[in-house]
Amino acid sequence: MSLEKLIAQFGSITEFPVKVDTVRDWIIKNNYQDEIYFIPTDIDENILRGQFRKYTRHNVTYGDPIFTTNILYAESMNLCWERFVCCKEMMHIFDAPKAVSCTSEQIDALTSSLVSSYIGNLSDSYLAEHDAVISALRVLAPIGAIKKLNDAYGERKKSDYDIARYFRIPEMFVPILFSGDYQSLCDV
Amino acid sequence: MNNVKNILDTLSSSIEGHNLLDVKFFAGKNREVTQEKFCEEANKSLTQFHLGQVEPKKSIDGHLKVVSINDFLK
Repeated sequence: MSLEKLIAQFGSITEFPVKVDTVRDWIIKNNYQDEIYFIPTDIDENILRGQFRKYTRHNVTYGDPIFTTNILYAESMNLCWERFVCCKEMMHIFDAPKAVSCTSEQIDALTSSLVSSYIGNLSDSYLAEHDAVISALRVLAPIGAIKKLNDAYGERKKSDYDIARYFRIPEMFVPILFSGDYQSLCDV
Repeated sequence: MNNVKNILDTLSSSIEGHNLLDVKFFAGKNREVTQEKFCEEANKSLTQFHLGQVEPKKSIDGHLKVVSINDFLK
């Protein structure tokens, strides 16, 4: 599976932070997309941090389709959040067909569930939003590196802030990286 | 549903020969927001891009210093 190839590719890295630009370049070089654009916009990050749009376009009539991804993100975010949002959104390039949302009904269902605190019948596209967060963590803070840091983190020699700054990811995700559930998930 | 239609209209009118394959979102921390407001914000960012008010960034990382994990642990 292509997402697993991507995670494996960045899993052996021993110097951090992983460059999100490098992740983008790998995806293009391996022909999963032709173009990926990161676009800062003036949106309220408290409401929407970013959005992903995948589409095809044509340069010339009857020409080959150009597979394009636009990632629009809130320019008010700090660097760690910008990197994380862009990386997470790129993970959607690998979403399964059943998780795609492109019709008005699908987008209506997805946006409705994203603003709701009610956990009901969750769609595949909604679950893909959460899977993409985990995939982005696996790329930016690979499990091999996290295991090397387990002791230092457990003994409080490295704080959440230290770890977040090292990987250049939002601090709120650091406890997840050191949780047993997350590490078991990565080992599967 | 009208707000979702606005998003789709902005998407389809902006690029010639456009064939939408997927749309996803990274919601902010405010979960008290209405779906209408959420879609308004999504459409706002698309509109800014398609009106040429914003430009793609070549690099999202800037000039980050890279440090080995062994050096970080020292």
